[in-house]
Amino acid sequence: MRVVTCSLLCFALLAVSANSSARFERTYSPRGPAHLSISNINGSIRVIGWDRKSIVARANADPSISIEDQVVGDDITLTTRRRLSLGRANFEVSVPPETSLAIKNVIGRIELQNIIGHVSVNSIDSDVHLVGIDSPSVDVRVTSGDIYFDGKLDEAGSYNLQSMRGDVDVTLPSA
Amino acid sequence: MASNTLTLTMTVASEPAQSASDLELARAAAAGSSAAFEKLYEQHHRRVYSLCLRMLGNTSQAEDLTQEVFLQVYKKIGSFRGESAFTTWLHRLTVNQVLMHFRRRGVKLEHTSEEGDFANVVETPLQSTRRISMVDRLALEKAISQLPPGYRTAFVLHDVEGYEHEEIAKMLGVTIGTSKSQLHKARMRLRELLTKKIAATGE
Amino acid sequence: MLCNECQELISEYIDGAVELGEQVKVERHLADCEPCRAVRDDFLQIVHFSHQLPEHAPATALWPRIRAGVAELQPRLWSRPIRWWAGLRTLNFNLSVPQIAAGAAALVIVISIGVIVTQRENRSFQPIDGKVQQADVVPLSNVDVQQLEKRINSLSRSVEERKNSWDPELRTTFERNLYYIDQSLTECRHQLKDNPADDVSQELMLNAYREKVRLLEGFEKF
Repeated sequence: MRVVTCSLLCFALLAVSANSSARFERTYSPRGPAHLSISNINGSIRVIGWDRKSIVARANADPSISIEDQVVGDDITLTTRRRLSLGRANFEVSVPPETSLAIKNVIGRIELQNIIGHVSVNSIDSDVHLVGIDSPSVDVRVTSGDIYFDGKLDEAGSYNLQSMRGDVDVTLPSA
Repeated sequence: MASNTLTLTMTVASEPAQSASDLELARAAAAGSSAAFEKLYEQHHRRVYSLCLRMLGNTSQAEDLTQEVFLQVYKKIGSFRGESAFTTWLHRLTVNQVLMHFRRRGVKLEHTSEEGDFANVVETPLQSTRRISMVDRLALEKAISQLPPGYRTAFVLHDVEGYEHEEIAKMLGVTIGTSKSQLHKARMRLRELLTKKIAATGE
Repeated sequence: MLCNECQELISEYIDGAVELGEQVKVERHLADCEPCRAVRDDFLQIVHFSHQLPEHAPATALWPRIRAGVAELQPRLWSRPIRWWAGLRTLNFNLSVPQIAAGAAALVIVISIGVIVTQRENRSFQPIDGKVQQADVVPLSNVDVQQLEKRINSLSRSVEERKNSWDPELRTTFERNLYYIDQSLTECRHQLKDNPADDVSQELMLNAYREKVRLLEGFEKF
């Protein structure tokens, strides 16, 4: 309920100043472990696992950008569409840790924290920062950018960290 | 030219279990636990240092060598599989470091007798063993440190550390006969030093 | 037996290492010879006390020195740049990490023309030293390369047409990343020219091709 109020307030502010960035805010209540896809072009994406059951997605976007969402069952997709020019959209999303993530971007830092669901990151020019990850599968592909991974590896898991140009820094816990 | 850096960092583990055996600690240390490594140091560094000190006769050299030993432990702990006791493994490592130290300094361990064989063999009947039993351990330590390196090595390895002649011979690269002879001469010399001391201090 | 003969054997005698015949001789001599008994008893004392020598402890400042020394050895082992030509094949690291040792199915880290580092059945990270060990990598055939190149060409045409209408930032990003990938491809091709059977270069090249496709597909929609 608080969330709804906030969005209304934000939209109200938007009406006042046409030049301010648009604010996207949504709350989702998946029934089970959700699958969240974010498809962005330019901007930072930050997804953090929290102890609530809901998914709250916020984004600050340039006016030339529109963000659409699509929900099918527990599958949630957020897509950035550029209208006129390549503005930025910065995402801040809070999810239950078991959410699976498919993050797609072109330019901009990607940060995931406290996630135990499957993780897939696909970008061109992004530093990727994965912290507190305890996932059965992690697939990160960037063309350029540094990848920082701090998490646990599952015995039967599969992990792929790829950067054509950048540093890969992996930190694993000792026994 | 593109160049990339891969860094792999290992985070520090939490405290190892209180009742962790050497093998468990070694495994944890091999896996990167600096706490386990520290625990191993805690439990074994005195023995390592003592061995170095007795072999080298010099505290600062012994400390340097102890440091070397534990760096070697750190580097090689991954190869410790537990087929022998950890102490045995550590011990071997220590002895190797000491011998390398001697080699680096060109210290010759094999001596031809300086004072002539068994010059002091026949004691006067007045010498009594009861004198030596009053020697405190400090005197023995001091006497050991006064032995020439070759005698000292054989004595420390055999009598203090408990190696067999066969092992000592292998370690030092000498014959078993040489090892036995060095040991014998060491004991003779120690006896001489200890009786002299007692004679000097009076009784 | 004379005193000097006896004393020659005294060490071995007290260590229990003389043959029975000699042992008897020594004991017979000792029974009648006080000086030799004195030697024997002194030796016994020396040996006895040498088993009881106290443990010494180094200065407390020693541990911080060791800790610092160890910290220097810690990885950051690979923090120097890994250059392909600088001898991937001579690099020899053996880093065992517990989670890996526990048997993570696969951890693949690919750094372009640098190194593929994987952990497979063996429990340590090893750069693939000229050999790709996984069974699932299909050696690159000419057909594969041709197909990829075909796809790349068609995508490139499509992208070229639209590139000029892009934002400068987007265009720069595209061109820069394309350059990185092409660089990668060039180096792989060089390697393969010298050594066509080089599995590692093959895999890297395949990867670079796929990356190029990914890049072009990603930008095709703009």
